[in-house]
Amino acid sequence: MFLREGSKAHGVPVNLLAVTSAATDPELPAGKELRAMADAVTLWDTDEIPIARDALIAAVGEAGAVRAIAVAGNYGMMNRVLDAVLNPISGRPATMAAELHIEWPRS
Amino acid sequence: MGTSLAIHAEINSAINNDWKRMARPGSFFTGAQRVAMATEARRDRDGDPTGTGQLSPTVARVVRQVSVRPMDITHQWVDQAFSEGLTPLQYVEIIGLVSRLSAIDLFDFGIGSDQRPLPDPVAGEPTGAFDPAAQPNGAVVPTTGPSGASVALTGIRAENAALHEIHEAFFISNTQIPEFGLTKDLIRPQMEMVAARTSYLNDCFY
Repeated sequence: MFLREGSKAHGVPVNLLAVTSAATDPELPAGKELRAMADAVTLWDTDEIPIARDALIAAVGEAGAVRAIAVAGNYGMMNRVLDAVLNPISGRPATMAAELHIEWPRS
Repeated sequence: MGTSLAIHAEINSAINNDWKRMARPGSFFTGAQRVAMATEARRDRDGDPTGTGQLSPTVARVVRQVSVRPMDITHQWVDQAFSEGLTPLQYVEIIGLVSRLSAIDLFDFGIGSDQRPLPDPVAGEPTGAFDPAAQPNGAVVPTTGPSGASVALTGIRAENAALHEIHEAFFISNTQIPEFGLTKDLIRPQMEMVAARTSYLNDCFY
């Protein structure tokens, strides 16, 4: 998982369960703010977006916040592409799903 | 409403290029049809079923699905669209256009800007261009190599290039994917937290 590899490369902690559990502390620097921004953008949450944006700017600065929003947009795009072409799933999805405490195969 | 945030030049450039690209004839659809796809994709997202009258029922259905519920797409659903006359390469063009529109609209929403007006279509006929090297490689569309994110839209070179332009400007380039020590405004794991959470919310497990 790229998140884990990135945390190792930068020597920062991360709790992978925070990806699927909003109650879990990501432990990553600004992790809560980044997750809140991803939620607000992806869910088109008009109430939460200004709150999430201000909190993220306070945590990582303006350039970092813009980058985080762009990353969420990029994954909105890539998720659509991969779902639409029915890209075969590679790697070890069952192992990853177990790590993230999610059901596999998906129902 | 605009944003007070300073937007990186590479992001602005990629968005401006995509807007121009949307308006021009593609490989299999006219500029008017491409802008109509964008119009309907936005309406679908907003729960407005009003069509533009410029798309076939099959194309309109594909636009709606890719825009709103891509995670529900199945082989059976795609086969149905193909049995109605949609070709795999036309499907590639629709996926590319609607997906990039999502990226740009999500970005504008996130930075606090209003949805940007769609461009006026440019007249002309579709080019018919595709990559003859693209073959069945595991996905439902032809690709130039083993199926995966980096080659998903390689059946049409222009769609593939457009996807990668947005990907690189918004996130990182394909060649930077293995660079886990990378920093680009955020450290890589911070970008990956956003990526993973977004994919989880979108129910995407590729």
